[in-house]
Amino acid sequence: MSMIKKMAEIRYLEQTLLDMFSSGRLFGTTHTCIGQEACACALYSHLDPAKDLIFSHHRCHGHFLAFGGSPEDLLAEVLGKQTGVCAGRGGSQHLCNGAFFSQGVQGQSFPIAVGAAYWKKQRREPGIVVAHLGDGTLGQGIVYESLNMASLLSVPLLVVMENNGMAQSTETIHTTAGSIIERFAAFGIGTDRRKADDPFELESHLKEVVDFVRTGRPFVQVLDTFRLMAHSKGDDDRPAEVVNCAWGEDWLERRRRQGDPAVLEAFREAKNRIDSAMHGLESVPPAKMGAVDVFVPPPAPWLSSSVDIAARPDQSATRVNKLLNSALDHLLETDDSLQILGEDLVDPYGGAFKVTRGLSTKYGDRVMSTPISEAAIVGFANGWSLAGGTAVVEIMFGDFATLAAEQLINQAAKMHFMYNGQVNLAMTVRLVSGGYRGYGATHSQSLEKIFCGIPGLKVVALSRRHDPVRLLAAAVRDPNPVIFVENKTLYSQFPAAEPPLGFTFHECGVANAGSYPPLFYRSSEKTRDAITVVTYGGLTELVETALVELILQEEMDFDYFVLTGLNDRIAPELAASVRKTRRILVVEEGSFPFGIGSEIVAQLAGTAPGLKAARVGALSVPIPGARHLEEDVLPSATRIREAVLALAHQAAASVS
Amino acid sequence: MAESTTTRVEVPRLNTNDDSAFLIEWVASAGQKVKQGDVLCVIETSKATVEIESPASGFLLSPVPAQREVKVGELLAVVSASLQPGGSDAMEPEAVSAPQATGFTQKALALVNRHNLDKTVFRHLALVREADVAEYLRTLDEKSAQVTPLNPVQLRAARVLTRSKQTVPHSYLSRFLPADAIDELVSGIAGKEGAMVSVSDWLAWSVARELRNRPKARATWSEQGLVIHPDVSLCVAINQSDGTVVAPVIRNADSLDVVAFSGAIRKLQMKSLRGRLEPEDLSGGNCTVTSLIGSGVHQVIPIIYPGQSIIFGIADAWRIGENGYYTLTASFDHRVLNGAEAGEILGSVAERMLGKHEEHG
Repeated sequence: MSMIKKMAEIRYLEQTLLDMFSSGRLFGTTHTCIGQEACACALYSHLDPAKDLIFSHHRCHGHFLAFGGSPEDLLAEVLGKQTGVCAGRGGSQHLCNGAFFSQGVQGQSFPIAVGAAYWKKQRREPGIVVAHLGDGTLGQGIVYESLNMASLLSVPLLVVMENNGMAQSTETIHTTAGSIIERFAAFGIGTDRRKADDPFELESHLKEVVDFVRTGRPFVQVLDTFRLMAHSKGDDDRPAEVVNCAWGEDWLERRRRQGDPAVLEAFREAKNRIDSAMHGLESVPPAKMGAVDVFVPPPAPWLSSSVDIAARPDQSATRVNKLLNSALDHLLETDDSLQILGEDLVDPYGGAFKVTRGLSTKYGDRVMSTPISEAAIVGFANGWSLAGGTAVVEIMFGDFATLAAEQLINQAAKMHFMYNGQVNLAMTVRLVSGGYRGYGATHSQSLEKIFCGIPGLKVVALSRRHDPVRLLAAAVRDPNPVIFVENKTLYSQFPAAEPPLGFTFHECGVANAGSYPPLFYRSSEKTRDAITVVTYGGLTELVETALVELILQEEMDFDYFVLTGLNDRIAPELAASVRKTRRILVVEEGSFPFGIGSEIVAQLAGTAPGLKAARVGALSVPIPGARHLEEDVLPSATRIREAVLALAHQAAASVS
Repeated sequence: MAESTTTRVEVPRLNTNDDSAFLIEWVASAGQKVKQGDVLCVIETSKATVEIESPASGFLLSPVPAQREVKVGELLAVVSASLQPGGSDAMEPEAVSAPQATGFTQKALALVNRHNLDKTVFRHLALVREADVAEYLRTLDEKSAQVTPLNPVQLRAARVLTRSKQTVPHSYLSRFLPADAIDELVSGIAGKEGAMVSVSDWLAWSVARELRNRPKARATWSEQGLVIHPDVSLCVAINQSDGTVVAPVIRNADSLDVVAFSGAIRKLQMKSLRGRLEPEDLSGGNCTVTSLIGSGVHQVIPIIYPGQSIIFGIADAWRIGENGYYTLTASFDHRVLNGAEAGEILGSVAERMLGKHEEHG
């Protein structure tokens, strides 16, 4: 289709959407690109949907259509129809057709684009990656983290910034200090800025730009343009004379007014196609939720039971960090699409906790030290896995997961479901978590509970009771985003294969495809008088100390569970235990209000009438630095013991 | 590394039926230097007594206590290249310590202490609870219905018998003696002498006299040669009320006439009854006679006392129709006497009892 026809189609479609919103026939939101069509059309004449990847933003309809997307599919999506590109799950801002991805948080697809571009470079795949920005996006720090990495790694990435002069309703001059172009140039990336007026002139310029990027280097193209309509729907406070003047200067509108036959014909065709598409969609049924889950089923063979992930006797003389190292070594060896990245991972340093020591020497740049940019690191991993690879990220301190929360919560967690199963993200974020080290408030937390409630993220915790090799391997091979919690106290410890004194190991099955079963130990088969105790991660030793002491002193009995998948559905074995014991204690290292324990107890309450429950966790204050104060705040064997005894003294509700 | 410097000595599986064996004794002692192939200890299964040889050369360390059941695969001891197991590897002493339970609950421990139990009986459990101890006490109660504790004399006697049966190659010969003739003879002697002489006494005295001429029947076996004892000191087995047997000695028994001899026996029987047997009554003796007359059995096949070469036993006469017969049996150490020699001695004793030798005095 000619460029003029494509521009007319985009404009007519956007206009149609606005009309429908104002007449109340459309629900939700939209962000039209009327006035900016030339940017998309001139660029996309040089891009190839078969090999190039596009990362767009909220104002994405023009990009989508210019890249070959069908207006019928786009309209169906916006209208919430089953035939929409994402079957109604995405909506206006979240489009995907396999090579085109848009999402609604400013700048957040930028690091993803960098990761995808690095995949193309490392795998020597043809094609380039385009990251679309708006001028308002310059307010996001992620832009600069991403530019930095794109430049350092020299990836085939074209950054196209459409500068329409307005950040939603605020003029760019009030939001953006200094020179826009110098911001990009500062990263040592080639830049160009020009007015997007004549699409044909722009098209020939962008050919040179795209050709340059195809040589394997990043480039930033700033296009000055004008958004003729509101940011979204009728929320335009710009002076009418300014907007009217802009309409007069608009290349397409000028020619329409002048009666340019090609332009008039283009609009006629656009009207026919869009109107008939709208008519046709009237009979298309509304989208249904469908079968696509938040997770992809893992490949076979998956874990067969908890026996697969329990610590093995032959591991009892090797420290956990060394075992994790050998797991990563094995994974790098067997999966050539695996990329490991994080801060200070490369030898001779080998990671702050030495988990990657020796791996960069053995595997070169497949083990990468990154800038101190947690958001960009995780975004990069998202892009790498979106493009087809497997990624493992080390977050040196789990506290910094907050910096990457956007990439985890809004990006990684959502894509599979939001894009209706068209993509999956095989990426694992290793969170080095927990306290008892005196590192203070910002380096000691257990923040995993923040992520447990996010649909689309799996949270898996390693403990001394787990086989670090098999558990990490399972997480990495999981085709879904996995947050892998490694308590930092574990690294120097040895896995514990022998059950705690007085306990025997009981196998737990894999309840649902892709779930991570808990480890279950029982101190007596006579569970009538037992108490169910649940913990995970770095606390097993503390909990076991308390429980064994209570067995020795009081001859109490316990059903003891060490969780693996923290936000998996409740394991049937745990539910069965609680139905018998009717008493449960959950011990977690994170602060206990609104925590893992709260959730487990809430879920179990429905299945075990009269359930008595207690939680032990960190006190609800920031973790102090001083050793004795930290000990007061974090869970202790004494507090666990007291909680068990308090629970024991409450008579379990009798069952009628 | 630990593997190269210490070798485990474990209870082997000696036959498919036994999951445990009895550790009889340690031949080598803790700390002793042993060579590969040296006998370390003796264990007994339901089928055999087996010598456990050292699997390596070195020092025997941490032998578990003997005289108890041991499980197949259980660690008996280790043979270490050095006398200091902790020298190269500090983990080692833990690994070689005698197996025992890892933990006792407080309630369990209280019960163990109250009953003064040996903790190692729970070594098969990782954690011992009160219920485990209670269960053990129940089994103990069941056993104690039949078993009464042993006093040192009983223990010593038991050990002696065990040693004899395990080390002396026994052989047995019997003769039937016409009971009426002997009874008549014995009651005749008693009537004539006005003394209490029993058939048992008569046998013992006959043996004593016979031994005068039978040096090998009063010999002790040793690898170096037979030790022939010059005197005839005869032991007379006495069944005591507690079920045990003692065999006090009558020294120079051949020098006594039958009345004096039976008087000596009565005296020993009285002492035994009163618990007054003295150490000298119980030491020495180079032949023994035992009698179960009055107990209703017809034959006794006695166990040779260690250090002796022959023992004679007699029991109640077995009556067939009009005739009754005593069964006189000799158990003898086949290393000292062969069958013909023993048979000859037995024959002579029989003849003496039938009065075919002269005197009574």
